[in-house]
Amino acid sequence: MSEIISVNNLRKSYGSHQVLSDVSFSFEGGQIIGLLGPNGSGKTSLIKILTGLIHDYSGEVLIDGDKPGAVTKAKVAYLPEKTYLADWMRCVDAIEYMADFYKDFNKEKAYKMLDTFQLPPKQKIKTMSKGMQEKLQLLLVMCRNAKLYVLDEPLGGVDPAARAFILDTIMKNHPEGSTILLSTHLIYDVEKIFDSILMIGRGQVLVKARVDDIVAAGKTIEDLFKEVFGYAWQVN
Amino acid sequence: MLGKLIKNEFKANIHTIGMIYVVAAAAVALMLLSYLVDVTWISAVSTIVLIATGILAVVMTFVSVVTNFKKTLYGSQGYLSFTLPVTSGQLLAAKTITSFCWMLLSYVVAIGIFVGVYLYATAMIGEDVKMALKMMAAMFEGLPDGTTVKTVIALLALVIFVRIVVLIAQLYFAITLANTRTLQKLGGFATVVIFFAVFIVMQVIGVVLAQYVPFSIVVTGDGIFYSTVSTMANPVGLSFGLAGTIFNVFAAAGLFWATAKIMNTKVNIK
Repeated sequence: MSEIISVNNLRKSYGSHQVLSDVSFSFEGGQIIGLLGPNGSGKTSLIKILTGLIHDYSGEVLIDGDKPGAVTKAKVAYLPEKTYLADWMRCVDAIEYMADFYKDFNKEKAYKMLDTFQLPPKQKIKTMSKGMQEKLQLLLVMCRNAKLYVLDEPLGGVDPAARAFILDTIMKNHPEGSTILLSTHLIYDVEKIFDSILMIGRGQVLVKARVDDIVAAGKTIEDLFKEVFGYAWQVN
Repeated sequence: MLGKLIKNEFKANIHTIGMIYVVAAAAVALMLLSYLVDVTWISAVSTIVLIATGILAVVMTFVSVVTNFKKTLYGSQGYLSFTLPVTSGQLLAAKTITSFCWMLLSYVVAIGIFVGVYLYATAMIGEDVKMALKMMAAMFEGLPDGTTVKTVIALLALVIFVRIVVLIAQLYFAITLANTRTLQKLGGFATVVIFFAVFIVMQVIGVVLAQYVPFSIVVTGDGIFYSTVSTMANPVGLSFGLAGTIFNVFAAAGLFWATAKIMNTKVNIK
C-alpha cells in the first residue's frame, strides 16, 4: 500500500517559538494511527498542517502524494477540537452543506445516523448542547467515504461512556482501507484500536512504532508513553 | 464549486440580512394599507419604519458583510471553510460576489424607499404625483437626448459598482491582515486602523490622479465629451474621472490578490 502521509524535515514556528523541529515520518494507508503526546507537544499544529489549515512551514508534506490543498481536502475528513458549525444551521442544513461540497459524503447514512444519535433534524445548532454539537460533527465526518480521517482529540473532555460511544462510532463507520490519524493524550481507552503510533514531544518525533512491535517487546502503549514522557504527564 | 460556495453564502446571509427586507416588505404593505383605509397613525408609523428600514438596510448589510467574513473565515467556522475542497481564491470570490449583491440590493432598496416615501408623502398631502415625477425627471432635462441619459445612467451604475467592489476589497484586506498572528492580539482595533489607512491612501491617490491625470468623461447640456483638463477647481456638468476609476479597479484587484495571498500564508485561525 502507498504512503498516505509523508512528512520530511517539517519545521514550524510561531515567532521565536518553534513548535515542530525537523519532523520526518511516513505512514502507509489502511491503518489506525495514534498521534500521541502531552498537551502543547505540537499535535494540533501538525494536524493543521496536514489538513491544509497552516501553510507557512518549511519542509515537505504530502497527503496521498499531493501537497495539502484543495485536492487533498477532498480526501481528508477532519474533526477539529472546536465546534465549527454556523449558528443558523440545523442538522439538516449541516448535512446538505457537507453533501454539497464532498462527493464522498453519504447523505442517506447521515440521516440514518441522526436518528441513531437521537439528534433532532430541525433543531438549530446554537440551541444544542456541546455534547450534541460534538456528536453531530462526528457524524458529519464519519459519513464521508474519505481516504484519511484526521481526528483531533475526539475524546478530550468527555465522560467514559461518551468516549466508548465515540470510539464505537469511529470503528464502525470508517471504510475499509481508509486511514485514521487520531490524536489524543488519553492513552488508556484507545490503545487497543491502534495499529501504529507516533509520539511527539517538544516538537520532535520521539517514537514511531507499530503496536505489534511494542507488544512483542512486552510493553503497552501506556507503558511506553510513561517511559517517553515521564510520569509527570497525565495519561488518563 | 464556486457556484456551491455562492449558494451557501446566500443561505448563510439570508438569516441576518434577509430579515431587514422582510421588515421593509411589511412596512410597505402597512403603508399601502394606510393609503387605502386613510388612517393617519398607521401612515405615520409605517413611513417612519420604512425610512428607518432604508437606512438600516445599508448599515446592517455593511455590518453583516464584515462580521460574516470574519466569523466564517477567521473564527471557529474557519475550520470548516478552510478545509473545504476549494482554493482560497474561490472562497474569496464567493464572498465578494455575495457581498456585492447584498450591498447593491441594500442601496437599491434604500433609494427605492426614499423615492417611494417622497411620492407617498406627495400623494398624502394632496399634491400631484405626476408633477413630482416630472420634477424628478427634470434632473435629466438638461441632457440633450435619450442616448446621453442612458450613458449617464450607465456611468453612474459603473461608478457605484466600482465603489462597492473597492469597499469590499478594502474591508476584506483589513480584516484578513488584522487576523495574521502579529496583529491578531490587537483585535478589531487593527481592522479599523488598517481599513482607514487603506481608505485614506486610496482617496489621496484618487485626488492626486484627478489633478495630474485629469482624463474624464464630462456630460453637459451640449452632450458627452472627453476632457483632459482638471475640472476640480471649476466643475462643469457631470464629470466621471477615468484615471481615478481605473486606479480604483487596479487597487481593488491588488487588494484582493494580497488578501488571497495572506489567507494562504499568514492567517491564523483561532
